[in-house]
Amino acid sequence: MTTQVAKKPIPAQAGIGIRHVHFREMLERLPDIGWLEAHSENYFGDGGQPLYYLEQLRAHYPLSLHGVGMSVGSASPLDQTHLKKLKKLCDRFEPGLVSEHLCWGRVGEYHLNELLPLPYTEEALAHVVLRIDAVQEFIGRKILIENLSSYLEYKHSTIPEWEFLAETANRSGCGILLDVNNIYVNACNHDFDPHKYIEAIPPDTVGEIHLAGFEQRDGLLIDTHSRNVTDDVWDLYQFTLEIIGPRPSLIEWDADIPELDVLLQEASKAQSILQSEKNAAVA
Amino acid sequence: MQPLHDIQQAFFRVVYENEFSLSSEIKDAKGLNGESRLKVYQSSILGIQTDALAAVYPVIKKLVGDEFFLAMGKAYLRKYFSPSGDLHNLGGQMAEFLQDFEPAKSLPYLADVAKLEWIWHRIFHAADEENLDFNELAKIPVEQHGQLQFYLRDGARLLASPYPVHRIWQLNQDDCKDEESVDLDEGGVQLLVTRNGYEIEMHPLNDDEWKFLQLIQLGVSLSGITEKIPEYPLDELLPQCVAKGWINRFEIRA
Repeated sequence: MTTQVAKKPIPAQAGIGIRHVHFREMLERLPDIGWLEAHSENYFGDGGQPLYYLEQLRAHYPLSLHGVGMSVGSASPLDQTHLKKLKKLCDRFEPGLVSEHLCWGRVGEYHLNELLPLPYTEEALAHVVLRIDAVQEFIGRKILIENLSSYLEYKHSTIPEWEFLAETANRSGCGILLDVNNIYVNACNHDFDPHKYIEAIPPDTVGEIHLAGFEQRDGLLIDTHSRNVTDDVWDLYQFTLEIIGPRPSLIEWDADIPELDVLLQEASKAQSILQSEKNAAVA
Repeated sequence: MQPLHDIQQAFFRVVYENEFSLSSEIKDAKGLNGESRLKVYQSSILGIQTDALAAVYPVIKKLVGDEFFLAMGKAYLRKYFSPSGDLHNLGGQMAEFLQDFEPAKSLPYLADVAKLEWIWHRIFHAADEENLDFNELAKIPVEQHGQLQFYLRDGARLLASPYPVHRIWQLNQDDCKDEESVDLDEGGVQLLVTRNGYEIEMHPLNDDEWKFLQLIQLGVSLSGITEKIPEYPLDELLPQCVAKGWINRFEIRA
């Protein structure tokens, strides 16, 4: 591993989510891309191909680790095995960023393996802040917390989602991974102005941006990560950069994974929007 | 207002018990009520989890077909809840489940195919291991050879089945060009499943190899093996198992 690359922070450039189908092609081509993000749990094994390839790629690209299973919003205790595996992975790969979702999934000792929405209440906020604290303490570093897509709202929620997210970061000291596609999906599903959401987020808390494609089903937008980013979401991304400033921006594609070139084209689009925003800031 | 804990328990019952009391806590909006919104999650959770099972059990899925696998997967998930936020840990009781799964009773070999696929999955993610250090082995004086205790690779597993599960597995790989079918009457198989570098290998074993590796796995030393079964062709078996990389460690037993 080249530690010069390994220890580099994630640059304010476009990156792509790395999936096993692209391991070999990435290593053969070493495309010009700012950074890579890997799903932490895909590398929780003790050895074998996934860790081997991640290590190879790590020598060439800054790496971010993105978890889907920590369940910081669950009422049940944190899964100590999960925490230990994440820490071990962080110690080995020294990722530039580590992120989790503002959601829950664990019930007792079982898991629903989906990113489930919390009621936005003082009770949930206090709970999630304590848990993020515990995760940060355990792995010995700050994490980013990502806003998620949701298909329901609880009647007893008292805090708008954007305030809940900003306050989570404020109280726990974590950063925010702002998923612009999820904001768009939720704005359509729950009828609010996505610009208002973005304006409510303190810019200096945002460490990363996610972009992805959604599908429409049963009268809802579903965050499937299986399509190109839509024009509306590109527009919202541009708006986000204007408000928040350039940030590392990731193209996520986790289902019906296309040819690597399709991902690289999407990343190149994000990169040109990022670059024009950087140029505008200089001018 | 329900506390967080109760909401999450109620959500769990939506998914696995089809019990929708939580609906009354969910806002109706855009023509979708609480129950239909919860059903979106129920379907998504069961979809994610059955996809994870299909990723571990592609041969089972091919053998029973997509529709049967989906129904079987959902029945499995209602009996064995997902143990972890890491989906790679889901599915470990499939063989046990299939033994009692009435709709699959006409396919008695399924449970053993499931055992083989789970072993494959675990070995794929198992720790990387060194090969046997021949120089160190060569240093052991002849008089101590009887005290040698050899070890199978930590990731290696032995599997015996009265069905030809190895052939069933091979013929159901996507890249298999062999159009032959398997005759269940061709008999069972004794297998060693192990990893060579990052590639998984399955080796059908003859009776001598099988018994030898079983004794090795039980922790019996070379002299112990000779005492138990004097007619064993140890001179052939040991170098062969070492050369193939199945055995990768040794120690001298006091």
